[in-house]
Amino acid sequence: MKEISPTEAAQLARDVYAVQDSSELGFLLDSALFKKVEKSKPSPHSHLKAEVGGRIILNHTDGFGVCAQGSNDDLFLIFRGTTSANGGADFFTDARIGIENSTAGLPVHLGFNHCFSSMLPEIRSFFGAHASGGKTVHCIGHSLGGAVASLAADWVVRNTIHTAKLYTFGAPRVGTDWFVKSTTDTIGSENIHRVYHRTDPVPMVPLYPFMHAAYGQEGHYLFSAEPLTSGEAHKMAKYIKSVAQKTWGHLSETPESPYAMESAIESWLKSKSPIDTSSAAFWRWVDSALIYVLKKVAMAAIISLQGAFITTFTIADKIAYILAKGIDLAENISIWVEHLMRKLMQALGMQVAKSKEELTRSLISNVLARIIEKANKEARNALRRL
Amino acid sequence: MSFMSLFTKGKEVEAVLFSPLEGKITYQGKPVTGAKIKLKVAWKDQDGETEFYQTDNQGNFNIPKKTMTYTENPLVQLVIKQRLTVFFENQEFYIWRLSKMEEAIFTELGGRPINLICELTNDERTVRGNGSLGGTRCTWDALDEAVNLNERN
Repeated sequence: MKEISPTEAAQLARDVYAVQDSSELGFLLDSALFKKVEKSKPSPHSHLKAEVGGRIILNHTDGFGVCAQGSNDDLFLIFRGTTSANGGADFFTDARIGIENSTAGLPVHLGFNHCFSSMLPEIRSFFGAHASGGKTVHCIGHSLGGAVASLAADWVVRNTIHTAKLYTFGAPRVGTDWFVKSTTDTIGSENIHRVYHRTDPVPMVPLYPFMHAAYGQEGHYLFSAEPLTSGEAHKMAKYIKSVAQKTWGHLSETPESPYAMESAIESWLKSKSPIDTSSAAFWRWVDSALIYVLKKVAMAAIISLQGAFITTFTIADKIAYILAKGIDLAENISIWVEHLMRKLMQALGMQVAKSKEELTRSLISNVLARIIEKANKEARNALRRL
Repeated sequence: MSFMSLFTKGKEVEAVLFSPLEGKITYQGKPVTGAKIKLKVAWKDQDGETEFYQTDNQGNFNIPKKTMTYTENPLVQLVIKQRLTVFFENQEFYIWRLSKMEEAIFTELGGRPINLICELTNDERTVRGNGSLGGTRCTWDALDEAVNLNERN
């Protein structure tokens, strides 16, 4: 099954931002990757005749995609993120994000799911016209576009006879553990190319329970030096530079290992060093530690997190539920919840809890809600300043 | 927890909305004199701004640089839509339409075009510069890439 190169994928992920209408689609598709079609001579006062093997899926402020026929009997679904004409990237600022079920009945981020669902009628229609043979469908996107591409790739494999290749750049986390495990099995981890810069903040959030596909795989980690707080490492132009002249095999750097190793996470949790919330490292540690502690608790308590429980509470409530359960468990589990809560309360400038009895479910929920609220407020401020 | 709490205030940067463009408009090889040219540039909404220019009695036109200053938001891709049309014999001809996605000057083509000629009977050709994509009826002899492109890393 042929896949496209990192540079080809990155160029498409960026160029799709330039397409606003069907006449501009012609420029995007004017490349060796796409099926050539006969163009009739345009009249002097009209556009280039848009005889292209593709169409725009949706032209909407919150979502935009393109589907096209490739030159190798393959198909393309390319999604873009937010442009300057669309205003704020609201889906990032909603810290109290809900979860709903994807088309496959798996829990995913509500905003991304809506975006993808609105494009589904056009996507179905496009596949209806290209039903023959088991083709490769390249699903590509940057940022929000990457999240939608992930949902699209999953949909393609479940609902068509085709196979999917997924290429994302700086994509946020799309779905929960179950979505990600399921989607990784469905698409195949070798078909998933998740590219992210070390200091790109977007792939870092939301935190648990949202995770990245491919489950268990580290994705294509790229070094970047730009400070996390600048967000510079999220730019598609930077991804294009980072992958230039490289094959997928080249892009297999191991992420900085401290974040992955359990013993390192435990050391971090136990450490009493001052907290710097502006540092990239701090948030990576929080992320790793939160997942680590939640898994510890879940495994110990054999908590089932599926189903109706998921849809009724906010993220903060859900996490608080799990952590509160952890407090009630044996010392070897509860101590980690204590350490984690201490770190979070310290980050908030709160009085750190002195004993685990103080860490009630409502306190934990309050701490989590306050951090999310703080983040939400700063997000609104950041956008207001634009 | 959301990463948004990590964002410092976005950088104030200057972006070139339209790089200086000078050239000649022809129809079937003959200069189009005294013709109205419309330039539309949009980036933060669909409408943008429209300006008008005119070719002189040799069919030449000269459009100066347009810039703006804005606060960058790393979550949002800057897309500057440029549309250049010429009014000739009661028809409006597209000569240039392009999306510019980098802030520096002369990224549309990747350099300053030398000897630009926009023949109205040409087909549009796809153009890919530095982070730009579009089409034009114009042709040029060469691109001067030595101009200060100020590439950002």
